[in-house]
Amino acid sequence: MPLHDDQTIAPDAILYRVLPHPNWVKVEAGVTRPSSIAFFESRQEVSFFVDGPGILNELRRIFPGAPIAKVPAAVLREKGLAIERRPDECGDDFHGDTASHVVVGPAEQIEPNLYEKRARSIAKHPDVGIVSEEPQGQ
Amino acid sequence: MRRAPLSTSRPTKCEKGGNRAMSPFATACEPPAATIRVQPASPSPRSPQLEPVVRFDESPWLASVLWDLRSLERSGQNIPGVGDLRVTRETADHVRRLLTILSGLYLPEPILAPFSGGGVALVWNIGNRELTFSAYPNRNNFVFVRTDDNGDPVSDGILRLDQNRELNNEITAFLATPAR
Repeated sequence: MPLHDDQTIAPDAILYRVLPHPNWVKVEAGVTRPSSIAFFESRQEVSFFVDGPGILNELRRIFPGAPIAKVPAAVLREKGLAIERRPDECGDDFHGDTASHVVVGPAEQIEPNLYEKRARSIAKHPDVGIVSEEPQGQ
Repeated sequence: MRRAPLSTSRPTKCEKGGNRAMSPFATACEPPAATIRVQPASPSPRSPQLEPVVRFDESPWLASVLWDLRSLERSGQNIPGVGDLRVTRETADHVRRLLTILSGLYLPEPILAPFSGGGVALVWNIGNRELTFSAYPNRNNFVFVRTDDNGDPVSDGILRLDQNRELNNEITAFLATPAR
């Protein structure tokens, strides 16, 4: 189903992607970064959470110890990806604002190798990184 | 991993007329090891059915990667807010076939990772060069991306396992030392 890019999500909004698998992160020149695999998705709809009050702490509560990638919305759109809210898909255990849950993908399905190239370029983008582990005062 | 408890019962006497070599307790009924005559194995032609066997020294990582793949298949979960990391048997079997083919090519140990939507990625690294093969559910091919030493994609596409020439070309290019 084509994704609808939600313009209520500002270009400078930060989106979080939880990385529970150890191979979804890599260390390059001593810096831990998300790997491209963290952004692969067979249906081309990757789950993220848009930053907002209490969101990061809630993600840390649900996924203790898991690294969390931060990606500006503008980077995703720059790669031709749409951001669509999916409040029903964030899970019953999530006690934050369910409207913060979004899926990201191309507006129309593309060949998987092209999709993977976009995922790779997101993972390498200089504005993309891992959130520091210090608790946020939210 | 939890294992099934082993039986502590042992046979009280030797079996008669059975195939002692097949019994796990056969040695209890045989003469002491020092008295056994060792016969050198005579060379015999291998069955053609066994020819494409993977040599262990070509791919010492194969067993552990297959084990990791089995673990993914057994323990993958659908995680709301992250993705469905369950790997089906069909997808895992597809990856096993690729591993069997590639394990004879002196590649380094790959990284195995599930990805959202039931996929599995195999990643080989040599320095910053990377070769990734991704298996997707319900697809009988693999997506591959090969990068240069800067991590930039230099080749990508979709390959089936019967495209031997293309597969070999990608592996050869990946293993080749880049020009300085």
